[in-house]
Amino acid sequence: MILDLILGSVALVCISFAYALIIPGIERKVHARIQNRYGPPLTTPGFWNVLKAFFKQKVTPNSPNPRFYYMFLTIGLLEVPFIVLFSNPIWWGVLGFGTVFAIMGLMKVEEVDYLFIGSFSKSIMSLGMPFPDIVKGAKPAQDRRYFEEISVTRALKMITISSFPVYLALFVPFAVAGSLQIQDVVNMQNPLFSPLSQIPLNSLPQMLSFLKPFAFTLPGVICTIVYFIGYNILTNARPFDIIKSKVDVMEGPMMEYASKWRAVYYVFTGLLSFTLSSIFITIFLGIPLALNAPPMLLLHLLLIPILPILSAILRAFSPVLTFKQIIPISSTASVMAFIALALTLLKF
Amino acid sequence: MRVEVPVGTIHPALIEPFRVRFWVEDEEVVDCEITYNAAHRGIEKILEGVPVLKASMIAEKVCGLCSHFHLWNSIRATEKALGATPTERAQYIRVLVAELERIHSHLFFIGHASEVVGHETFVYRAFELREPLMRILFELTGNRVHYAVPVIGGIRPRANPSEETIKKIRGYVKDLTPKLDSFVQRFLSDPLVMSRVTGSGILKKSVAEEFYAVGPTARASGVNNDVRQQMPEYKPFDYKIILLNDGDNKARVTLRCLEIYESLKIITQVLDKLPAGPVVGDVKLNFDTQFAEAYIEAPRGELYHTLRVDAKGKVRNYRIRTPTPTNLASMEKACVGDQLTDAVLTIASCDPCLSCSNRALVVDAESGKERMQEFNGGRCVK
Amino acid sequence: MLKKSARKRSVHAMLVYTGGCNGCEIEVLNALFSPYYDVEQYNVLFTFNPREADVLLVTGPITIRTLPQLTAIYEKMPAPKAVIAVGACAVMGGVYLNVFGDLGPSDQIAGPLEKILTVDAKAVGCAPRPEEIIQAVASVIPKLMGGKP
Repeated sequence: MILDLILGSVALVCISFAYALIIPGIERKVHARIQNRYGPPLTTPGFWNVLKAFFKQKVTPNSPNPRFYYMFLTIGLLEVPFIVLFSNPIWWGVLGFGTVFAIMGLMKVEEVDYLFIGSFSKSIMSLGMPFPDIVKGAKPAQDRRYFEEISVTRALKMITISSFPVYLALFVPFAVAGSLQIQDVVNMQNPLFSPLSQIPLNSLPQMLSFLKPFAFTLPGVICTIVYFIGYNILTNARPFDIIKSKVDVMEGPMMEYASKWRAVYYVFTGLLSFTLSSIFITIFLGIPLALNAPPMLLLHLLLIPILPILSAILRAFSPVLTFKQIIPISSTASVMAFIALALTLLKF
Repeated sequence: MRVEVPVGTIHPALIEPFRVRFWVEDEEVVDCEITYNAAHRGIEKILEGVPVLKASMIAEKVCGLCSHFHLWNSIRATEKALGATPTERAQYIRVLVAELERIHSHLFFIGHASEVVGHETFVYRAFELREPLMRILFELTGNRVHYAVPVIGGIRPRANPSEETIKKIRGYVKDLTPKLDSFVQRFLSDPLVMSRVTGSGILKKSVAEEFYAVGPTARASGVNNDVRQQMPEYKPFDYKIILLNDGDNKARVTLRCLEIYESLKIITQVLDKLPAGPVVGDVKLNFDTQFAEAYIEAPRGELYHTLRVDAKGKVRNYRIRTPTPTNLASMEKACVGDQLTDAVLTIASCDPCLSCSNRALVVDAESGKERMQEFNGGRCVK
Repeated sequence: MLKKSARKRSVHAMLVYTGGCNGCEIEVLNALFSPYYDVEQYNVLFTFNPREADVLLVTGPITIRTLPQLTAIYEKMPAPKAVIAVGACAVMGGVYLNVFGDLGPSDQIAGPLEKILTVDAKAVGCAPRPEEIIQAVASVIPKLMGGKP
């Protein structure tokens, strides 16, 4: 039993790493084709970037405490695969981890991680630039800050303002199923799925005819839209990437990662995209990443690139938004999520 | 709580090295200071005592985006000093290259402004519109940047367009107009981009007049200061001076989009009315002249050159006044009250193109008296 | 072997402008942001973070005010790295050190790039064309592949 658990977990982590190295390439290629040009090959922004960064010289970052700077990134990297694992059938029975609170808690930890990373980074591209500012005749200096510190304040605002609609939209399917367990949500949408028995591949058409995904109902459509906005907020994609927009704070808290740790950071961002897309397919479409049911596994793996591709299309057509525009958008999304919740409660 | 955020000399939002210090209170800018001495190259010092036929080589390299305007203005001042007149065909071709460069500079600005707003796709679209223009200029003059078309008394014979080149330029203008229409409409109707630029970075008309802002920066606030109205070379052509009244970032961007259409009109008129004749006139070099000055409308504003030629044919006391110092000073006032990201966009929207800053104000700290000091390289000359 | 392959297939380039006339920046941005030249299809990506960059593109004559910033950025880049001088001003001083009148050449210029850093490739011209800039970047890739660590 324990051996099955460990082998299954290792296989899942390998699958998520493989996707984490190819999703950035797919996104960049979609951007390029929209912009009327060829763009880099599919493996370059993901796989070869990671390998090249891995083989560079080790440098000491400009940081008051480099060990903490690395430790928080390691925490982020180690806890993101657990989101995929907890939403997987082999972990559903273990210690009550297969609930919505486990997933939400881990997502929150990942968001708060940016605050800690940013406090330990002091790069030369902002305040550290060797330029004589304090000279006779200049305005007096007062409490000078690095870009990373501005970015940390913005990340705190994003946590309090903008991630609320996502958690609400994630909660609605559990309200429909009437339980906090992911198992009940999947069983509600996928009645022929049972985690204990082996399901052969040729029963895929039969399973598809019995599949009733939550995303195709009216509250489901609203929640999908809200979840898509939240996907862009949580992965810091272009309309909402105010904490690491290139024209303002120039990569924000992650500026001082170099060589091996930059490879770790690339993998971390790829893993995050894969993870958020995977829990969408599990919870909203009812197709878990089940290793002992090949039709479910195949369908799940084929549907994963859809959310990153849609996010890349949105990213190509939007500028960076400031808080003047983000706050109304997230308020509207919260209202939509509340309406979806009310619709589900009124139907029963 | 007030904190200070310096935006450094190397930054993705700037294309020239200058330093901006923002004082920010909870994401809102309350004060700003711009220092732009990093690009000082001492051009007026190396121009002192250069033979007059060689001075044009240096005057052109002051700026890469308005290089034709610097050279044209320098040649105008020299011709006024020496008493030479260029031929008529040469005047028309100088206007043609000038308007082509104005389009090129405004499209570069739109691409750069889109980059600072954060919209990557519009950058690629703007640069895609620009590339055929650079190839046309390459065929007409021989280089993509730094064309070196005017000489004293006319233009370089290499830049004399043949019938084929004129047909190509006409074809380019006809090709560009519908593509430009669709791009400008798409740009000005995008709700997310317009929500960023509308209402941010407002420059009031009184502030623009007090700081003497020039060019499209001031015309977007309602100040009518286009120098082309006073230039005799533009008299035969029919074009509109565009004025807008809002003074925010959207007005500055829209104004430059509309000015591209006026430039296309002027180019069509030049090609229709181009007179035949020689391109270089007979020039008598009467040295030992008085001071001569010339004003011209560069894509960023009003440009001023002055010089005199001494008895041996060398240039003396060359002075250049570029449009950007006062534009940046008025932007210091315009970015107050916005969020930090919008303030960076405001400073990029006045299209700064720094040439050598060439003046210093010396303040006596004890007595408080001020006097103007000219810099000639590292030494101060009164 | 994996190391050499990775260094050939992923190159990050950073642009440092040191006070020139901007003509070379136009051509470098043309090479990066124009669908006609699009250097991303050759695996060269654009960045503004020295911790991530392999190749440094320097334009403009190095004025004395931007000299400390250029050397600080160069030191922050992890090895293996390469430096490319773009344009006549970075290669030999342009008009500022070679054309002058009675008062001598400009003393605000810290010299061509060779005096400050070791230069691996030079793209000459005023301004050099985008094809020549791409060729210069491609010519330093063997140096990156063979470099230590």
